[in-house]
Amino acid sequence: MSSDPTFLTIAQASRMIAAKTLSPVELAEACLARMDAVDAALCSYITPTPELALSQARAAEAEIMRGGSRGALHGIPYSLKDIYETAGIRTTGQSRSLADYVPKQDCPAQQALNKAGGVLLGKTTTWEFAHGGPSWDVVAPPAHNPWNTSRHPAGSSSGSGAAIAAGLCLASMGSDTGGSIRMPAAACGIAGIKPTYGRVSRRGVLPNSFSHDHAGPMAWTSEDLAILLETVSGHDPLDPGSADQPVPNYRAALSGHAKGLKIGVPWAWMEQEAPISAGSRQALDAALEVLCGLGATVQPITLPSLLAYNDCKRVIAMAELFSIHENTLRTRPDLFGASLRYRIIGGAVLRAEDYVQAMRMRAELAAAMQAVFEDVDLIVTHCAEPAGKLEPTSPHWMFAQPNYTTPFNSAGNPAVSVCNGFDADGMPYSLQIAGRLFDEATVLRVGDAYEKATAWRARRPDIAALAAEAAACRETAAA
Amino acid sequence: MSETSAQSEASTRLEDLRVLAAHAGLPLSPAHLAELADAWSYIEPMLGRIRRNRPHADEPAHTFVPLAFRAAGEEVS
Repeated sequence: MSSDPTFLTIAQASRMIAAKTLSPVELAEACLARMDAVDAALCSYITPTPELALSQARAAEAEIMRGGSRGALHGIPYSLKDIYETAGIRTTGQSRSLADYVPKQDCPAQQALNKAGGVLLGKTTTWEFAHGGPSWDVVAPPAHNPWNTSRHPAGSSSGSGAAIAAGLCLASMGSDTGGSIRMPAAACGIAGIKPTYGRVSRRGVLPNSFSHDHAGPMAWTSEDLAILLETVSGHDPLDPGSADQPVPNYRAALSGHAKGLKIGVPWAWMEQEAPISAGSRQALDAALEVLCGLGATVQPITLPSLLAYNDCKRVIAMAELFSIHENTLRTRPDLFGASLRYRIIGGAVLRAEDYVQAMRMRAELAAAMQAVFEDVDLIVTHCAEPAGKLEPTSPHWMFAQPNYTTPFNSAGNPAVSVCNGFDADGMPYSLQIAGRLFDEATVLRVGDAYEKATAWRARRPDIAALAAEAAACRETAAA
Repeated sequence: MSETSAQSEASTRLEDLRVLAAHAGLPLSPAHLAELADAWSYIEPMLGRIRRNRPHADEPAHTFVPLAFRAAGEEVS
């Protein structure tokens, strides 16, 4: 276990808090000190809330000392992607169009975390409206990858991924419309789950594509995801997409093995359609061996093409995105960053027929995915390539290549990304594990068993180097 | 295709897009129209790949579920 409190997992920290060997105030102060030390280099927070955090931490400590622990999240520092509405705290969506927006109410996810006794450290950097980025012409600069600050942390939940990996919080809530939880999790070497569509309320989370948006947690381990997911899940009658399904005890399902589970691998995606790098392939093969050693069996599966899932999602998402932003686009197009504007503007020339035909195609693609889950318990793929350089990129890249995460947004199935080792440059590899609808328990069980069977969770970014970079950034800014 | 006819086709496409955007209520500046033209070069093939000619009764994925929109606390009789 780490002696640095910011590098504890939620499970470890909560045990220490319960045993009164760790103070929630000291834990919050340690995360805030880390923020002060390194965030000038990471840019992971848009709006830190240190005073609120310390006040919540003191209240948690007093309550716990009186014997009133609320559970595993009591006194645990977390952050929220800056698209989660928070009462009295600005929620910008990283957009100049919402630069001064201060919601009156907390969204249900924040209400749940607050009720569980969590300590809110602030709002994290996102791509604009969880879609357009990385951008330098929005509210705040884009986040950097803590494993190498010249690399990107992917998006759109960029700040959440960077902050967790570098110990600026122990957990965060992200959102995932085509991979925006799993890709930053992959790039930053943490764990992130996109739950089943409807599992976590989207109410009060700034929308991107109504029919693909998922709210979900990010943390260092799958066990921590289990703790967080159980807290924020549940039916919300005021979210029309919310599902009235029982929420299991996810943590109790973490058995440490994968005995009896059948894993399907869509090799055609990774070998023919969008070939993965040799390093990623080697990491994937090694991971499948570990999973077999944990008791699973692996078999090839056939799914519709990656491109079909990606095309279908992109057409629907563009139409929905345009419907959200058309008024601002008409009246103040200058308020959008160029990256998001580029992606919204195409929605103006789609026809209603395009949207409906894409929705009909989505029904076919979702059915094909669920049919595969008749034969296997899980689908495993590589998640994303190790992060590349952080630099302005043409916004068309999002249209150019199919990714491995979008199929599970189209079909609605739960999928987690976990760390799968490191490349020669020290950047994380990633593994995606997807499951049946509403079977997050099995997805997390296998993610947790994999993490515990490998050594990847012992490695963290170099904080001393980040602090030196941050000091240099502050000096440059002051000059 | 000659350079002149390629230029003419590009100009026609730009004009088509300008009209379509105007129909959507967007009076685009030349710079924003150029952004749309670039995006369209990716969107157009995407639309071409969306499968059509389905059986008449093929439902879209967003079938309307009226119960999802009842008022908070409203019971189903």
